[in-house]
Amino acid sequence: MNKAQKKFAVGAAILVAAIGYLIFTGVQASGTYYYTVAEALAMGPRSSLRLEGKVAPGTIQADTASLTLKFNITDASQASLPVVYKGVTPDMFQENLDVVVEGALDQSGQFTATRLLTSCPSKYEAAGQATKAN
Amino acid sequence: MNEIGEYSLLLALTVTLYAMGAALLGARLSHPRMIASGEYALAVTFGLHTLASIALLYALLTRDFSLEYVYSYTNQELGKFYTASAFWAGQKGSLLLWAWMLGLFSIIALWQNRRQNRGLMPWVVVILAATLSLFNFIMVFASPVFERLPFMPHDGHGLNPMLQNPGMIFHPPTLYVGFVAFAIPFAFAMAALISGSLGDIWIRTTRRWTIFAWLFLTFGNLLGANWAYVELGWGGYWAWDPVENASFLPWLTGTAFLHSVMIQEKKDMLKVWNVTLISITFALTIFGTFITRSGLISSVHSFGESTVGTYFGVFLVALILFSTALIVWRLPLLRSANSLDALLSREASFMFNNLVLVGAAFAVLWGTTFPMISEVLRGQKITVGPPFFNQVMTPIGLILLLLTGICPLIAWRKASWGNTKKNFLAPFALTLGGAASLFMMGFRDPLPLISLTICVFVASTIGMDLLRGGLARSAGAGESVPVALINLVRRNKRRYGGYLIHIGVICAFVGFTGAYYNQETEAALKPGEKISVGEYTLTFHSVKAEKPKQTLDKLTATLLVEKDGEKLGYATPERNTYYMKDWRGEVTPQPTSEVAIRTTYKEDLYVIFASLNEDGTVTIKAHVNPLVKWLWLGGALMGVGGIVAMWPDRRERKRFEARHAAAAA
Repeated sequence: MNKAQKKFAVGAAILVAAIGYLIFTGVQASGTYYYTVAEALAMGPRSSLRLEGKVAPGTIQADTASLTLKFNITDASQASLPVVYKGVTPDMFQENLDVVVEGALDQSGQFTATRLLTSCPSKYEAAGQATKAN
Repeated sequence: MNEIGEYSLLLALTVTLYAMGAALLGARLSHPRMIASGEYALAVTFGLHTLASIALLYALLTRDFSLEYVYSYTNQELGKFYTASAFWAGQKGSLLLWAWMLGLFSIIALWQNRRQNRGLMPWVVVILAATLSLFNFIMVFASPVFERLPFMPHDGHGLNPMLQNPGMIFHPPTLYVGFVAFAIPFAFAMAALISGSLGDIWIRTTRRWTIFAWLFLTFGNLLGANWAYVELGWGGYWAWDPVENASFLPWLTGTAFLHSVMIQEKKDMLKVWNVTLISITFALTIFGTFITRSGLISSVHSFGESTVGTYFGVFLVALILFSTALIVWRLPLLRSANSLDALLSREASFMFNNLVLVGAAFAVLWGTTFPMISEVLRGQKITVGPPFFNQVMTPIGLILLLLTGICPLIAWRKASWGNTKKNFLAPFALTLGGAASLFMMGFRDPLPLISLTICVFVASTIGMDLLRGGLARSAGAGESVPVALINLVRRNKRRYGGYLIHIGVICAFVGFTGAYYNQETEAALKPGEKISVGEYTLTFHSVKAEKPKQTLDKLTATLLVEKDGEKLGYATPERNTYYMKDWRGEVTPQPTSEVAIRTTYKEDLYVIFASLNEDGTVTIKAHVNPLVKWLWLGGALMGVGGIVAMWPDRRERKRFEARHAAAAA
């Protein structure tokens, strides 16, 4: 290695270390545990949690004045958790829809969601529809 | 027609396999007629894919609902335009479109090289035919395009209303063009490795393909962002969703490749890096399809999980192993005669730019696949969301932007400090002035101030360089300054096209910076009630209900928009419910929001009609998104710049041919 290459190697090492550091601290700061409803129930109270599940039918309560949405989230194991979400209800939100909620699970077993994601009505629905049609 | 389509695809699979074999044998045995036969076979494949595409289009337009695909994505009511565009509304049609494009690009590349690079071409055919076989294989066995339903429904399911938007119609094919076009430089890189002619011929031959692919990838991503912004109604344009990241990853490495090849052309350096980078870029185009189809990463886009993901996964692994093995095998030939002369040189600055871009790609890849990584490493699924990406990508983006200003001003090989200082003096002074004015204008927070200051810096380096070139030419050739500037650009389209793209990048960063000042508010309003957001006041007037179609309920809210007491007009966001019917006649309501956007270069007022409530109030959500329009402007400039850079250039062609002749002799 000549002198320029050595200098470049030092610069590159600093750069790589800096990006590595950014990634590491980024994960530390915003990593969210991803669980199913049953796993979350088994785990107990926890902040910074992401749950996937379905909206349980007949459990949706929307209070439009305070923009509060309440529903139960459930999964294949029939485990169920009450969810409270403040904010505008997403367009696609309805019973039996797959949703992802992010937030915290408190002592009383209630999940307070800060983010509510519905599965996007993407064009790639073919598999699901094919089964329905058959 | 359906049978024709089905058999075309079956035949296409056979023919691509033949093309692969013929080109391979022809190259091994140096048998020109066999090689030609392989090339013709590739052209035949394209013909067969065209036939299959016509068959699918015919089925769509004649509303043949017995075809599962037609049933799933169209119905009687859908207009001609959207019915035709349903071609790529689903996975099967998308695969066919992808294969058709790959065939088209392949024969164009073959035609361009019909009299040159004869040593490379058989291998190019082998690589392209192998890629095409993957698509053909999937279309025949895993995801048959012409699959029929066991009964004849009288109506189809219909196209998702959110996809009935011009932005969504052009977004997927634009991205596909970008993905597919990277196959051409990749095929040439592999051909160069196999044949051992590892100069810059493969790079120069495919330079336009690379820019073309990059340009379409850029547009594809921006169209997607624009669609999300105007159609999805959550107030933003980019959410760092795995699917978005999947198309951003090859963009990052492709951008790195676009820059690093210049170093190989000028200095015969970075040979290993370049073949690696194009392999990674091509692999990432496949990776994107793989993660979204395999169900390994969950995304808010609900992709049907299918075996297609497995095929792409297997192809991806084979691709990585194959290109790695080739590169390792050819390492002795890839050793460069030149090495870095000085740290203060264009080469070194480009290498840093490459490192940052690849580092950015790594960060995005890490974040996207982190649920998988953490599950393997710690046994726990941990996801990182937009905060992670924003936190990591903001500094990386700013460094990249800074390099955009620095790189072009540093001389090749070894820049002298004196000269470099001279080049940077004026931009530096302008930047100081710019920072002070930005501060006075009210940009006081560090992050936006830094970001916009770097924008000023990059703009002034480009401006000064153009001015210096224009003045020098004007003095030398006796032309007026504007004429001299135009001639300057015409004489080196590649360089100045690149500059134009850089100006587009600056505009895009201005747009990104605006997000720092985003404001939003939401409330349930009775008629006459107001909400304020930013400097705007919105007064809710009324809701109008209409039923323009049997399957559509349309609600329109009218709000008076005022700013500093001055009436600006009315915002009319809509809330529409489409009723989608399936073959049993079961109806599912599908609500969508049509947002109202008032856009200026200063800021967008973005109003969403979230719901009509039982007590008669309406829930309105309003955002003020500053500077968003600059992002779309930046995209347009990048497009113009890309076209300038790709435009045929006689001078460049002469230089290229002279090198060709020298290389042949």
